Amino acid sequence: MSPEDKVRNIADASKPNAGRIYDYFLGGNHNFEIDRQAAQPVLQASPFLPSLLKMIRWFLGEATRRLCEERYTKFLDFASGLPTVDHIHQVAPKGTKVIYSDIDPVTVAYANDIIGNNPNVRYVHCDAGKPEDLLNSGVIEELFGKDRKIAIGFNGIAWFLPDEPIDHYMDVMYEWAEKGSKLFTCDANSTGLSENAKTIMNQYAKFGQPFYPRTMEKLQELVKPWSVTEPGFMHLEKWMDMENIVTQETQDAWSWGGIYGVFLTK
Amino acid sequence: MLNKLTLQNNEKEQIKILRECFVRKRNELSNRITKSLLSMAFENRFTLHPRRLKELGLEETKNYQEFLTHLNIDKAKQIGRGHALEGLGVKPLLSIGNILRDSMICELEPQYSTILKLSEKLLDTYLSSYLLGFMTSREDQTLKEQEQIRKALSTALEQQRRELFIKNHAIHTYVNGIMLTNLEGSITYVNPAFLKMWCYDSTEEVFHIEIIRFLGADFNELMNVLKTTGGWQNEFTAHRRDGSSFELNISASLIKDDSNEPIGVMASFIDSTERKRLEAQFRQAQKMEALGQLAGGIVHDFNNLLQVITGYTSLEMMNAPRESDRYNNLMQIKVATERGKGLTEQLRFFTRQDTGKARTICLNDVVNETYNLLKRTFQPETQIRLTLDKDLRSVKADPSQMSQLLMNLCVNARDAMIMNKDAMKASRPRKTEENILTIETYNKDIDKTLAQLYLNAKPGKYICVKVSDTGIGMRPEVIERLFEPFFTTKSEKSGIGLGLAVVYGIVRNHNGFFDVQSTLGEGSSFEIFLPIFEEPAKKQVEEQHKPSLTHGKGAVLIVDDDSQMRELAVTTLKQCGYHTIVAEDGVEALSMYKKSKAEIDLVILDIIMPKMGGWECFRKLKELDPDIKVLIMTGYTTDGSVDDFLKEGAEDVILKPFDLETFTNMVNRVLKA
Repeated sequence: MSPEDKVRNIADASKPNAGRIYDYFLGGNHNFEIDRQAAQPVLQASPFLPSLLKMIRWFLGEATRRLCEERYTKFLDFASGLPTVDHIHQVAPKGTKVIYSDIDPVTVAYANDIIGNNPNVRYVHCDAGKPEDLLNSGVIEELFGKDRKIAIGFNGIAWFLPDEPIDHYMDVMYEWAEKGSKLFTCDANSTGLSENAKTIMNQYAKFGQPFYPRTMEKLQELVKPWSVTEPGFMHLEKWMDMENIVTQETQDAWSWGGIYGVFLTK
Repeated sequence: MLNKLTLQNNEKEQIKILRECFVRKRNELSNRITKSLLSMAFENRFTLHPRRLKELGLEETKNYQEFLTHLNIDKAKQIGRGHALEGLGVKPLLSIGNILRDSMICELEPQYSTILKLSEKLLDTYLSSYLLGFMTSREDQTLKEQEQIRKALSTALEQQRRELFIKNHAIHTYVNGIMLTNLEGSITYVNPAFLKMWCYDSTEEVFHIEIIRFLGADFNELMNVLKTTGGWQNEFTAHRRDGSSFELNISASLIKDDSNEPIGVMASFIDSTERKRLEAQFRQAQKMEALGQLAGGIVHDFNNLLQVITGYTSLEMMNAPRESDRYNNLMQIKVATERGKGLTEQLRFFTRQDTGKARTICLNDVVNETYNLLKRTFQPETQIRLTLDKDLRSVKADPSQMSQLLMNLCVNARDAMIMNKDAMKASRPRKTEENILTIETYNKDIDKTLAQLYLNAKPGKYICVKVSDTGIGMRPEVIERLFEPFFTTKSEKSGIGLGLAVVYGIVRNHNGFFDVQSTLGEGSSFEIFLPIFEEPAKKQVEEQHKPSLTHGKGAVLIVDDDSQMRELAVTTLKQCGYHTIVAEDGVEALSMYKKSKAEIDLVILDIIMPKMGGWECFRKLKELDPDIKVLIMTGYTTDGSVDDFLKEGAEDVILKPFDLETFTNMVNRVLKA
């Protein structure tokens, strides 16, 4: 979908939109009544979905906190969404430099509105499947200088991309980043995914956002040549030290492996 | 000024006890709040991270303790606002309130019964202020986010409007014609390029015309193809409103709505006339290249064969009695081989890869010389018009080749106008009955765009010589083969089909290019473009060749009707030590020769002259003096008469234009012979 089509789609209040429904699941106000109505059947079939999506978002905060504790001071984030109060530059210590990016031009425009004139933060347009567009732009050097040992966010996007762009993304980022850089991501383990879950995903895809579920083995293959950091692939609750409620619910309902997060190192 | 809660005197004492009580309960309270908040983690907004909940338990306890100290209502509101911004949910908020209430009211030990009322009052004030701040902030946040999406909506609409404008503008200003129709085949839009292409002034005019005229096909057929293949293309010769024709290339596709349902058709129209012309030219150039190579090989081998035939024929003739049948037969072979040599000579022109004796010339001079010759040789009914650019730039070319090029073009032009005139009139009426041959010269700068229109053309400065006629014109299939060797539309007697092949060879060998335009019944025009040659002035002086004339002795009678030519010959020969006499025509020449026969050593004789032509004069001079030395001087001949002069005893032939070195050298040689 071209950026123009995406803008038109987001602004078209007459048709449900996947991005706005996602916002509704998260508890945001960037949605219309038509989106809320369209979300109901999905919610009825999978009432755990809003909690699941919140956990994915929380993993970003968790990763940021952990990487800041490891003294990473430069963050490059893909598919960032709106940089609200929980986002990297809000969580990280003062002075941390952050470059956010998103494919949606409306998000980019409003994100820049929210950030204002914060000298340590930039928000630019970039397709997460084509990171070279951002890497080759001047913004990196302008904010990070020559330093390439950075923390990289690729959170909550993997299941929206086919294998090929993920493979491409990992290769490009690995080539570009300095040794010691870290990348965090999360993905769903589709092993055993029930027909019911596939139906729900197809239903959601009709609103303009297809899903690309994959097995954990496949993701392990795609993230190469990055090395998986101990303790490896873990369900999101484990990362946040929460009780294993949501994943269990989703596993019961969808018969899959749930959602797990991982830290990768060069 | 801060909004603070005011206590009565007795309450001031009681609050101290309350604070003590709170301090004792603080840790337990903090743990209870944290536990409760963690259990309701998913009740908060996504923005409130679970890790923060652990901090929040302690923070809430501290906040209330601070309130008990300062009784600051605004601060309570601020706390509520802050938590709303962070994403604290309503349920967790109420749970904080409940735990505080339980701890500070319901679970208060009996010894604190005196402060129960105050505790209740403070807690109510704190929680109501906290809640007020929370709700206000939530409302603000909701309004802000909704404002954001409204802004997004208006930005998107603006962007959409701009995008639509750009698309409309792009279609409107597109260089190719664009037509939109509905599914019934009614035209709904055409762009200005379409109107220009078809010679219409307004879109309204187009809307009333059957679509088949523009598509060259039935609309239903088009729809059937589009539905199955998604695309449709057509090429045909279209006719504009003014009746003129052009080659058209159309591509059409379906316009679909958001649901992928067809709602109309978009057709793109490209005028492919020029492209087709260039393609044809390119094909022709490839063909000519191949023919050139073929002809080159043939000329070489054929000349060798002719040489052998000529050699053995001459040997045999030496052994044969002069009047015998055998001698005559051999003579026939020799004559035929000589004609064969003539043909190969012309073919060599077609295949030759050099520019002959190229030098810097002004083509106007060659045109003028050709014109002088043409006006004497062409029938009076052919009008010859010259339009020469007096500022024509120079070219580097072989003058004799240029002369031949012009002659070939002019002779063809004449033939197109007068050959089989009656027969042609019957079948293809001409626009004009006048036979007008026009020769034009002009400078032409060929830029990148123009160069694309002509085959073999490169951008640069050129001169152009254009030969146009009002003849019968040529059919496209004739134009295609025009420059092929031995291709002719003339009768066998009139031509062998090498004239334009020679023109082609000369133009290509001079790095030029050409363009042929022809309309049946109206005439043809040949434009020959040659690159200009600009020698730096200084260099020209340095390199200027000083003629080295051959000197000699003797008296020369110069016979030419062209006064300038006579004068040139007289001046040159005098300079070289000769005595000269002049005559304007054959009659005067005969008379002068009769008078001064003993004094005249050589006659230089032009062929085409008024009163008495060169041939008649030559015969009569030979009758008067069989040993007379005659040098034939001529501009051009197509009928082989030059050979006849040589056969009849002329010493040699010099072709105009000649250089003076050659001229004096030849005069000297002839006189010494």
